[in-house]
Amino acid sequence: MLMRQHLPRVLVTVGVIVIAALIASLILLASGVAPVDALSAFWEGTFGNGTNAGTTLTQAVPLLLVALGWIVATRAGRLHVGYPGQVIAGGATATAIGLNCGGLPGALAVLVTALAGIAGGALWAGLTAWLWASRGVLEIISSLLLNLVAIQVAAWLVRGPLQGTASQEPQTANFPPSTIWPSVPAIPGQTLSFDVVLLPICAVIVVLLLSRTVFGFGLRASGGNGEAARWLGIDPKRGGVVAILISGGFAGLAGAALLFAGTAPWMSDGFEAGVGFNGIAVALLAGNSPVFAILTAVVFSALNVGGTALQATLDVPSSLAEVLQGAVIVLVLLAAVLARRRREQAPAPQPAAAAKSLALVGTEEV
Amino acid sequence: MANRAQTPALRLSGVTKRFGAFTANERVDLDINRGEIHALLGENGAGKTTLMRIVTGLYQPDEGEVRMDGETIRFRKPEHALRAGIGMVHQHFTLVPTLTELQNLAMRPARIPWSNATADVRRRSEEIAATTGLRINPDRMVADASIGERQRLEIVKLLCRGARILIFDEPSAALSPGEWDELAALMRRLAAEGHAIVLISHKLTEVFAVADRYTVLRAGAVVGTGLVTEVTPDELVTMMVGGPVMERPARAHVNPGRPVLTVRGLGVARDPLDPKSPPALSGIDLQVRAGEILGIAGVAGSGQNELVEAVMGIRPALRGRIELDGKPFEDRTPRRFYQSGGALIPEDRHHVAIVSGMTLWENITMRALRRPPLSRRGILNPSAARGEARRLMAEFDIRADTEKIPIGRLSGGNQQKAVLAREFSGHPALLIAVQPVRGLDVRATDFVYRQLSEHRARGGAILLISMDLDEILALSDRIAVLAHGRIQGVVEAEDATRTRIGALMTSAEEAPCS
Amino acid sequence: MGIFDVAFLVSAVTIAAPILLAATGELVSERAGVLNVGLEGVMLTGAFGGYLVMWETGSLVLGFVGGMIAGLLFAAVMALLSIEAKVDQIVSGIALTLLGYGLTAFLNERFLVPARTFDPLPRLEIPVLSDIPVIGPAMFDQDAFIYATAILIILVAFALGRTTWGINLKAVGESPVSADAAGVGIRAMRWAAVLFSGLCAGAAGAYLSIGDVGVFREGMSGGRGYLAIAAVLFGGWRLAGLGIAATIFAVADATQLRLQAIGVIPREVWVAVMILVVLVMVLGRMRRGAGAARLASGRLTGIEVAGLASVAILLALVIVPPSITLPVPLWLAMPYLLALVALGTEGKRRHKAPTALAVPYLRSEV
Repeated sequence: MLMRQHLPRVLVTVGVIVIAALIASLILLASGVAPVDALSAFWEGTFGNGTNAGTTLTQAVPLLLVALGWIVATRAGRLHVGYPGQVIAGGATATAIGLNCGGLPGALAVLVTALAGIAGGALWAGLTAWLWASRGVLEIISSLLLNLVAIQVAAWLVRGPLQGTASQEPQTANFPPSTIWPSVPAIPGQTLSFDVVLLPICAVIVVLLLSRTVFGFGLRASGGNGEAARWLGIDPKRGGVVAILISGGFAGLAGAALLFAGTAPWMSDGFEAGVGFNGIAVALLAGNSPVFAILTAVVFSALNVGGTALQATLDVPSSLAEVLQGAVIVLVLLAAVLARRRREQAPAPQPAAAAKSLALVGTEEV
Repeated sequence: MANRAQTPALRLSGVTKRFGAFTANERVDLDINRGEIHALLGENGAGKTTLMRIVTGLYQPDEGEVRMDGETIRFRKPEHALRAGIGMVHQHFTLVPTLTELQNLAMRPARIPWSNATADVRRRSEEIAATTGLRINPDRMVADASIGERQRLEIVKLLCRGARILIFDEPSAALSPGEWDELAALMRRLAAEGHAIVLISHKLTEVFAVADRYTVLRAGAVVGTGLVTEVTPDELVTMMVGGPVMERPARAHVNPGRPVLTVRGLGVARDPLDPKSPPALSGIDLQVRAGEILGIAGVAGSGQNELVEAVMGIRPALRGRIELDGKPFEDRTPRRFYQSGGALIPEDRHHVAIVSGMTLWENITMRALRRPPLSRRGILNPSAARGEARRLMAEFDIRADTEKIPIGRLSGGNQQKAVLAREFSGHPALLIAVQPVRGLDVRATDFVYRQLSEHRARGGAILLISMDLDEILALSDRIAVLAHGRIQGVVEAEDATRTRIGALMTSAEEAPCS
Repeated sequence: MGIFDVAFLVSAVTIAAPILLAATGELVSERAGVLNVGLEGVMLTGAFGGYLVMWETGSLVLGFVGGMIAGLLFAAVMALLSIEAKVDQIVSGIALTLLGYGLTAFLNERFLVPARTFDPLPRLEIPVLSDIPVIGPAMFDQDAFIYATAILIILVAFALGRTTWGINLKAVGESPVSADAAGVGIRAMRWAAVLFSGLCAGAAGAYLSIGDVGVFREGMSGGRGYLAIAAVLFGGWRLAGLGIAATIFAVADATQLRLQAIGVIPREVWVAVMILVVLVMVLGRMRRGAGAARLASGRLTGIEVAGLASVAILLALVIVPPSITLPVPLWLAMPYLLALVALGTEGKRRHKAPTALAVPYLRSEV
């Protein structure tokens, strides 16, 4: 039963990855690189040794956090895309506070940076939520514009108030050592941060939140049919606002993770590096299933890390990874067409009144 | 005169349509003659809709053929049928409210992108007005037209496109008795001019009033056809249902008790965001007592939706007091409405009563789930909730393999039973039921009516709002007539007749109605 | 005139034209019920396509054709996803944006090195008209693209208001069921509208790269696609409103470009902002009064109180101009902030949106 339920999604995912690999091979061939060489360089760069595997897993964490934020917001019917801005806001807040937390003991400092990230992301998302709930502005547009604002604010911060005194580079001073999130000492290069425990923990929290709490139930009802929820005594506005705030909190935490469990112990203006949008892709590829998203986050992280490795060894532009990520989303969406076609072969005798757009690619019932 | 020797305007022979294993139409033969009004009868799911979708080009038949004036035709899309002269007046009008009436007429496939059909259409509509008396108000927004006016526009639209075969799908659903009489006269006039008319209806009174011939569909197949003059209503019902229908038990006499819902001087603005917009309701006084059904009669758009929304707390009221279950009901929200002992069976099930993507058990327990024992401190107890759902499924005869099925996959009747189960499971003091049997078949209708009567017998109060006067007359203890946002009068059931209610509906001063 | 001189007007027109063109395409597409959030990606692809063809051929005309074809192809993907696959339009828009960013960056980095810079579009002076003071040089001494944009907008205005096609388009976006019943092909109309928006956005993108600057840079559309979408929302799905919105964004952008150079904010900026705030408030009041055909209520709304307060502050600034220098990044964020404020003040008019916007059409619901 369980197998039967999940088989189609597994097939879709595998199919999408195979087709994406084919596209990648074609692009590589066109640019004069043998796919086999590329594959071995890719494997070596992602999981070939402990150091690289550690990097891949650690970089999957922010992606998954953003994906979980998307899943929560989507379930409440709020398709906002402010994750890049919220990642930046969370990271910047965590930086501002973390730089002043050098005196705190390690565990407390780590906790403070994480909470600062969550608060920063949630506050930035709060702007979108407020504009939506009280001013009726489509959350997608306001969040897009806020992303652009956040990018500029971050650029200003690292050139102004938060700029480190040591260099003229647009970056902050080094974080105090106690605020850096600890990593597994056994891995050479210490690339595996302990924050990978967030992968299973946060996914399970989201699953439980959505399926086992009254709040999550109301959220799903609001997302499934907001008007019905309102008539049934569930306030879809309240649910929507809280869902946007939660998603902002996740994105903000992702921002803190990017910086304090990242490769460089400072904040520069490009630290977001596409995590905000790629996190959405991770959720889509996982069919909005929190648990499945762990896997797809690792896949996406491998694409990023491997893309950099390809550039280093074979001189293939690392933006190949971005092309593949974009292609993966389009493929996932197209896979939904095939699924629909198959379903339409045998319509139910009672044509169920389709709700709104079905598209969130096999939205799963948790 | 209906059976003149002539080639039928439309002849279906052996039409079969299957969806997978399900056969929607089985070898259907049907002749529609010019100059006749042909009633197509059948329960919901009998295949009327599928058949008409084949005729209007939405579906292609798997077997059989359709002939128009003796020639075989095959429509691949609705436009072909329109061009051939087959037009359908849908139950839900296919008009764009934000365009003017003339623009709605001009909406059609444009062969030349920069063409402008409005002048052409204006002339054509004037010709139609001259021959049939159907006048439109060309430069008015459709949103500002009344239901009856929209229906006329819908007919003009089809005539403009040259329709010779007109199909009316439940045309009286939204009309007042007076408007229905006008429409009936118009249908006869159109038939006399040589149009062929198909009337889809389940109201036998209408069929006997205007139709020349009838055809009854059951389970996708024709079970009877003939002249209306040669059949009795009972025979038709037997054909539709496939057996005699049980008589509804006579209404037991219940002495009404204390007032459960009291509405005093309720006034509501049409635009909820704007208190200065013209009133949708003014000076509404109502009282529903325990153990009685108060029916609200009125044509669609008389303020029924606003009344429900104001009582529920979905829409703000300008003035007036509401008491629910003996206590003042202020700061209204839907949540407080349910907490104060209210329950609701809304008209628009898909939009406001169920979340079709969620499971049956989640929908059934949607409200109980947020209170103990099904949840504690915000944490759900899904197994208890599923058990409760299974209990209610048995009690309310909800047919589903499992409670875990998404409710959207159930039939309309089972969905409505699930809504009933949810609303009755809280033992409400007051039930508001709006068009509770809309779109249900005879059996499901019977079930809903029985549940309503039992609730009344248990001492519950019911506010029944319906545009179907027969339903109101059959169920209510007292009937309040709502027209143009005012209560025009309250009639005891014993004194209520169609004519008296109809007179109250239309006696109101002429107010703009939209 | 200070900073608001003729050169300022010229630069404002140059900034406004591509936004206006892309927004016109988006307006048509949204009138048909397709919300193309991927406009940014389409614009970027158009910019790259134009540059690519120009790089190969050296012809400006062919370059623009290339940009339009690139935009068309991308819009076709959008149409495929949203009309045929009935995928959620916001999700497919995000996919397009990601794909656009990745693909153009990759191809640019891989194949178009070294970058070449071309001469931008030449100016065409229209005799007589260009001699009108102020308006002449700003409007009638521009390049061919700007004239073409103006002509196209007039044509679109004619098509929307005066033809059967315009009626059908509105019907498809308002009530697809009715349009379908009248024999108007929903799919054909929507495909045409989306492809048209692709053409417009592609041309606008090509103008950014080869028309204005003469080179392609990664992510060079810089949020103009989002601004175009915001302009459609703010403009209330009308061409006139769209013009006002694009003007506001362009003036803001041109102002910030000027101020970047000057540094200190001169007095006339405060005057201009004050006039703008007053104007917006008066217009808002008039529209609300006229829209519902009733007397405007005497009470001030919260927004109006805020507006009056800001006028007072601005007045103080005019009298005592402070020497404020804002850092460049914050200036860059200004058009987006302004768009947010504009949407926030006008948000409640959302009911003017086409009813079927972003709702896929399923015929079974007839």
